[in-house]
Amino acid sequence: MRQRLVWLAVSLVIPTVCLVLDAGPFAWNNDDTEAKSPPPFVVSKRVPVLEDNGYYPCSDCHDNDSQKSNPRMRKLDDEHDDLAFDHGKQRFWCLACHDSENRDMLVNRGGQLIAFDESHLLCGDCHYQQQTDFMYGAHGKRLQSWTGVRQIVACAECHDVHSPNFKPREAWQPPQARTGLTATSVHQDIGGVEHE
Amino acid sequence: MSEKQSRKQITRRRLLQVLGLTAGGASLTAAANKLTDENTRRTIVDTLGGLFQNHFSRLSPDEVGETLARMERKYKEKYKQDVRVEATSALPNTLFGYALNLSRCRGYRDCVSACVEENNQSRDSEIQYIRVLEIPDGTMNLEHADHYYAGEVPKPDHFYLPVQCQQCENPPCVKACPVEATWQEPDGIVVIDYDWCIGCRYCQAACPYWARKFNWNEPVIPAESLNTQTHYLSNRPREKGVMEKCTFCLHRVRKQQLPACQEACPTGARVFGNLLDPDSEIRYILANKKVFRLKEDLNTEPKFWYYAD
Ligand code: HEC
Ligand code: HEC
Ligand code: HEC
Ligand code: HEC
Repeated sequence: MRQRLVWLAVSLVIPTVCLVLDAGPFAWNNDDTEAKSPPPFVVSKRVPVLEDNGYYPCSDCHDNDSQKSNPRMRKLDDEHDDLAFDHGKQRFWCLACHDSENRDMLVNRGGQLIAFDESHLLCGDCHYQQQTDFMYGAHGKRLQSWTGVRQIVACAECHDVHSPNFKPREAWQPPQARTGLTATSVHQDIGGVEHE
Repeated sequence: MSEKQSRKQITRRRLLQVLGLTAGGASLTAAANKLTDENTRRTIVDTLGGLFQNHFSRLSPDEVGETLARMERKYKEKYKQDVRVEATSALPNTLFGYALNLSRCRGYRDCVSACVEENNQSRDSEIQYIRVLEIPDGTMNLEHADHYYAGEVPKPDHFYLPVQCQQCENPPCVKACPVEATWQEPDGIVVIDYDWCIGCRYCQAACPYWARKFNWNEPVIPAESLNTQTHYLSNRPREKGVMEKCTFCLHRVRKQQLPACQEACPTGARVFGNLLDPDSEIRYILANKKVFRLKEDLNTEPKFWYYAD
């Protein structure tokens, strides 16, 4: 009887203590890998690319004076007519990401301005899992070295942000059969040794 | 450990062999050295040096230096350009591992193409270290996968699974080699001494991942596309009749660079890193993604993981 009481006490007390202190085998939050902040990284710059494309700074044209912001969803033809927009299945449009006042900046859901070089901070608003994986290194790509501070590729370098899915493409050539063998002769012609 | 010890126990027979070879080699080399014509002398000395070259792990630092220099001369003659052969050893506290995201890979074979060029693989043969398998969605039968697919990718309802040397922690190929021409380095990479390999192909039969390739023919590498930055244990040009395989680009990764296949992949499917570094991407993936390895039941303990998300 006394032994049973001891067992009962142990089996109740230990889990209770663990739960209260949030430690040990019965803790609420055992998953401390997520909580660790991502190791430092440097994302490849995008502004030079935008400049090369001849669009940056955007405010050269979007000066809020001669060129006023126009939030109406429409077909663009005066400019950007080559920009085929196919992102989000028509649930949002340009100004979901581009700030209407300051066209040189992106804008997130909370209205905070984000530089073009930091677009990964914007995408995470709607793609949280991909953004998290990106910061820890399970989505995206590392450059130069496997060690030291991580240099990583920006989202926009892989995804065309305006039409982000990957398009099919030609594969590099398939492997050849061994010299002297053709696909059909492979089974008969293996010098001397009879197969099968 | 026990293998190492047994290697040290010199039998009488072995001793006589070594003495005989060394004496013969030394007197021939000495004789050749007396020749006056510089070019002929070099060629003969180099040929003899190649003939009597010891196992890589038994070379003294001086001998390694001589061997590398001799190889550089040989390659220069063959390819008419300066080729660098290095022997950088493993970095401390590193154990290399690879993770590959199957939901990113799209079967482009950019990794294969980069690998062929980086590692000086024969352009004329079936030798490619990476085989990209095209597998119907919802199945996982490696025997029925197609690696000769061509044209536009990804094909609808298929996924792609690249396979290369898995750098097993418990490598069956190493155990199968009768002459110890292949072994595991301290950074976990399984390497081959191409000059010690006798081409018996036991390792090829022992490998469950089809990772080892045999040079049936004299390798063909156009001189203009030769990668002249090479390592003794990885991408230096090979001869007919020896085995070769992926070394995770040992000549690059020991200089802290990334393997050529990782660099070439445009999708970011490939994640390479140091398994001993708790902050590495690969450690994050192992801890947070549902990873698996190929043929785990064989107990080969590959250091190559696959995952999907
Ligand atoms: C050469 C001048 C020019 C430059 C540079 C330029 N834009 Fe525009 N942009 C226009 C014009 C003109 C329109 C209106 C097109 C129409 O209505 O058909 C426009 C429209 C837009 C729109 C649609 C919403 C609106 O306010 O009309 C967005 C979003 C936009 N631009 C973003 C940008 C961004 C981002 C940049 C810089 C990377 C940029 N633009 C650079 C000329 C320019
Ligand atoms: C999902 C967010 C998002 C939406 C929606 C969006 N953009 Fe962008 N846009 C970006 C980002 C991010 C960049 C920077 C791209 C880069 O780094 O290459 C950009 C770049 C641009 C540029 C410069 C492109 C270049 O190639 O130089 C123009 C112009 C532009 N956007 C116009 C538009 C227009 C017009 C629309 C609406 C039809 C639009 N954007 C909708 C995020 C968005
Ligand atoms: C305002 C929310 C929002 C933002 C910001 C946003 N996206 Fe999206 N994205 C969506 C939605 C919605 C979809 C469509 C998902 C679906 O298929 O149901 C989508 C789809 C995608 C897809 C998958 C496309 C496909 O067809 O497979 C990619 C890739 C993507 N986004 C990349 C990005 C990148 C990169 C950024 C940052 C530049 C970004 N997104 C910013 C909402 C957003
Ligand atoms: C190294 C290239 C690369 C980078 C960088 C990259 N992605 Fe992707 N992403 C891919 C590939 C490849 C796919 C798979 C596309 C496919 O198969 O259609 C993908 C898929 C996606 C998808 C579709 C859902 C999924 O998980 O398959 C989203 C959303 C997405 N990426 C968002 C992002 C965001 C946000 C960033 C930056 C924080 C980013 N990506 C950075 C290559 C990249």
